[in-house]
Amino acid sequence: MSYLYKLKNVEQYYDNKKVLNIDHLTLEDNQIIGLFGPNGSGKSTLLSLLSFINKPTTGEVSFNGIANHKLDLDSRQSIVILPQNPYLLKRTVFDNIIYGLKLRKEGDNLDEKVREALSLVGLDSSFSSRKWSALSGGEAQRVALAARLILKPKVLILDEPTSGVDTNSAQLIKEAVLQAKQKYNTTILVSSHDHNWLNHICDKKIALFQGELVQSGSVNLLFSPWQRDEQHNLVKVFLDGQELVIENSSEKKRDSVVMINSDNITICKKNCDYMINENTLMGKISSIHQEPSTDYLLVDFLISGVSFVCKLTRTEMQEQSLLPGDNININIDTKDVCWI
Amino acid sequence: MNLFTDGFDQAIELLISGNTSVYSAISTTITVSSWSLMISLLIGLPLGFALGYYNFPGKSIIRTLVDTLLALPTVVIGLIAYTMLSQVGPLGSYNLLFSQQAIILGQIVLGLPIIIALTAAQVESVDKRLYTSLKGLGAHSFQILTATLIEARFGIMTAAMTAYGRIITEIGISMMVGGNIKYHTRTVTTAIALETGKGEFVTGIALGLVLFAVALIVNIALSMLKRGWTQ
Repeated sequence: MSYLYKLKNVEQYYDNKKVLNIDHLTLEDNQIIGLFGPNGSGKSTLLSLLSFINKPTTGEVSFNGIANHKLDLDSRQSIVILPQNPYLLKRTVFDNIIYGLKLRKEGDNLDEKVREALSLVGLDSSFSSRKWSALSGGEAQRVALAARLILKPKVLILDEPTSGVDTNSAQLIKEAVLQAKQKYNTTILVSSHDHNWLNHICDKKIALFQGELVQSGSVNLLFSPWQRDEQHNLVKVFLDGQELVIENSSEKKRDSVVMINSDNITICKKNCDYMINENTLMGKISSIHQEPSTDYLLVDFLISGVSFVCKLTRTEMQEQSLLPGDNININIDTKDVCWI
Repeated sequence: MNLFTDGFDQAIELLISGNTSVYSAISTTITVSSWSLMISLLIGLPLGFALGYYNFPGKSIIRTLVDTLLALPTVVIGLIAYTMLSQVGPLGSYNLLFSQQAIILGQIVLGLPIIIALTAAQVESVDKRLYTSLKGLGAHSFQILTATLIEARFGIMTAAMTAYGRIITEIGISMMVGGNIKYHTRTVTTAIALETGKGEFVTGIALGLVLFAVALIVNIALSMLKRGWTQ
């Protein structure tokens, strides 16, 4: 099978500190691929390698089967990245949006193209004459996105595109990303802390932690602080006082991070006597959506403000008549958790 | 005080009367200083960009050297240029001594460190996100260079104005390698030195005011251009 991206033994160092270590990763064409993980987990570093802005310290990143050091300008220009906090040139909005086209020497119908790009991000064409300094943070972010969308790229890489913008701008950015996928068949790589959004749009999700690829798919990460019970096992104490004891964790450090696979979580709304025990937790469903490319449904729920996700079949969902806002009982099997 | 008021009156008179030697000195000054600045910019901008943008071994040594050259007295530059251009010097065969080209060469040595040092400082202070944004849009090295220089244009214009100010007011180079030849290599500054030496203080002050007026016009034009960019 041919992949759009293939990463092999990739390591990236900054100031002699390893910040990314990926033995093997393949990404397919024409998908929306989400990256998530805490700050400093290596998301931006990985995206900078995938956009070929930076070269890996060791290893190889290949695009359409061509290694990074052999990639020609055309292939490189088919990938564009919207960095976190993008920079707008000290020019008008129009000049900013057409900058990428000018680099590619595409000077036809600029007015029409700019109008279309602005409308994709929900901005009026009158914006095109505005100076860079006359834009709000959200408008600047949307103009920067329009400057990428106008290029109709093969791959669009978005590094936390909705961070630091208001709800309205974030929504418009999300819609524009989906439209780019539909209109131009663009492969989208997006990093975000918005798990809900990623769950909704992504065909594939990649979790990163401390520069390591944790697991692709629906996983839950549980961070410190931890307390210890009488058996010295680590205990996650939620704000409402509920406790989750991690079994066989007496040897683990108190700053450890636990990864819980969504398959190891059971939820129940009614007739739950069969599953309730002293470790059963209470939570509330926040959203339900279909896992892309499978028949499973993903249920996002909160335990005292901490977000989790689990998988159910459609039949299980119908039997329980689950809806967002429902209170549920939750059992988390902590025997097979993964420690990071 | 009379010297200044008389000098001002005479400056007006000299300009209105179309005094050929004064206009020749003004013309020579503007010609040589403009050529010097243009060539300094052509050489200095890419070098300043490279010095500010890239990290390479010996960068701090070059930076210190360029910064030191900022303080080089014009008379020393004139002396070095004289020895290079004289018949026994390595460039003697070009017969440039006591020509406008010789002044231009000397003034390039004067202006170049200013352009390089201030451009490097400006490029270093450009928002680091610019590189990621340009590269992420598919720009190659030359396109990044031009876009970075355009982004740093206000600072680079200040560098050009500073260099122009130093070039137009220098006397050591013009005197040593130009020779202060009337209607040929006499600049406003060498004319001031000559007139003051002859005891013609009022004429000296008049020429000084003319020089000030030229510098003022150039700066006003550049300020207007800068305002046009920011609005």
